Amino acid sequence: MPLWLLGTIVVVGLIAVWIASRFYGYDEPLTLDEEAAKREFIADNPGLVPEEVRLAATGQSALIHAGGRLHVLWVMGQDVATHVLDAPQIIPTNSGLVLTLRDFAAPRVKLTLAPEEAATWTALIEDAA
Amino acid sequence: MDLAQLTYPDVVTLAVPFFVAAILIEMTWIFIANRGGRYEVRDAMTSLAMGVGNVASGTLLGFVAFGFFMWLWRITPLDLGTSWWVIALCFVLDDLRYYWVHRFGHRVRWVWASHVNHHSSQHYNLTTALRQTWTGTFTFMMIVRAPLVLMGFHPAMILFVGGLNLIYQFWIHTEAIGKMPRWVEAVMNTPSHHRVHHGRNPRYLDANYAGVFIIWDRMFGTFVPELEDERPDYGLVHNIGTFNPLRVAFHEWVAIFRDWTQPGVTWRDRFLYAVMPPGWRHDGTGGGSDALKARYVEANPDTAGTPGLEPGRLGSDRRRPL
Repeated sequence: MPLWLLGTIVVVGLIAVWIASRFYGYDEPLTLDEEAAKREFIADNPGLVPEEVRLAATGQSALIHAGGRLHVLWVMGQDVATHVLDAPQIIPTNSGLVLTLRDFAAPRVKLTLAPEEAATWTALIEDAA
Repeated sequence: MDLAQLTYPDVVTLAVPFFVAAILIEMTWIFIANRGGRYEVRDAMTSLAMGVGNVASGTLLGFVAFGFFMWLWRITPLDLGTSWWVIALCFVLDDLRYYWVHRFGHRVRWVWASHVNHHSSQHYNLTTALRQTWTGTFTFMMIVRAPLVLMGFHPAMILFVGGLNLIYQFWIHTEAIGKMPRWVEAVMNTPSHHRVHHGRNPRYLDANYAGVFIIWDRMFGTFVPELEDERPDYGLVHNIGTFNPLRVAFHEWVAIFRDWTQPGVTWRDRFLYAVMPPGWRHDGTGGGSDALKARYVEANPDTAGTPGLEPGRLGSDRRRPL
């Protein structure tokens, strides 16, 4: 197959999948309640049990105490990722906070938080450091 | 026939339009039936980007493996020819080769660094099949194909059957198909068997490495059936938090490099960081899938001895986070 034809099929295919995903609503983000956040955290951190969960008002992120350490959980599409907070840099933004992590895969986590929430979370993260 | 000029169709490239059509059909089926899997736009686009990158890296670096095979072809005195039964035998033996390379891909961290991206999606649909490595050449796993060439299978034939193997594995990345007829499930790799392979449930870890024929797992003791009452939870034991294809492709290589450059590690530790299973730590604080299974059985004693959690699959529980 000529390269130009393969390239055309790939580009058209990518666009078609993107359009179909949007049309079918496959871009709706997951919204968590506290129980769901706990469940997702346990699934992603075998052996750890959440002791305290502070869920963001958006239901898109949470701070979780487990195993004597503070963790952040955030929604990625219809799923979540979690990371232990090991003295991250905390950057305030107009929409909440950005945390910088020592992780090549996820070096920055954007958290959408109300101003009061952002202040509380900042204090909690700094206390845990 | 001049075997030096032997060529076969590039079947993977020819299958690309089929891949695209099948993905669109699966997406539509899930939308209409409201079952049979999940899609997420960024996850799907990341998987497709990984597929495109895989083709690009194969184009750029494929000469390394092919050059190695052609060198072996020149030195081997054996030539099995090109008859249909030779192609069929080559297909079966190359599938055995695939089983072992895939098993190394989960049990040797250097190879896992390349393969991990395929398991980095938390979804299991046809796009996941295309979430392929960009760094396979650097694992040097082409060496495992050397015996085939030395036995007299032409390199072009080996790459041809390898392409067929890859195409076969496309359709098994779906939740839209339940279980196949019993004889198919007994012999072939199926969506059910491969869902197990992508599950991060402790019982499903390090199981079902097959490409086309599930018989290899049955022969070598790595087969675990999909249980009706335990759906696979897809993804990595600890998922990565990115949809960025560059980070997906290289994150484990970077992790190895960081382990190598941390203070206090010896050259022996560095070697072991590359060849031991994922999760190994030089200070004993790590633990891989075996320890995870052991911990799970300890917390759920009634599961002991059930599929995937037999005594031989359990490691020692080091009581530390994985």
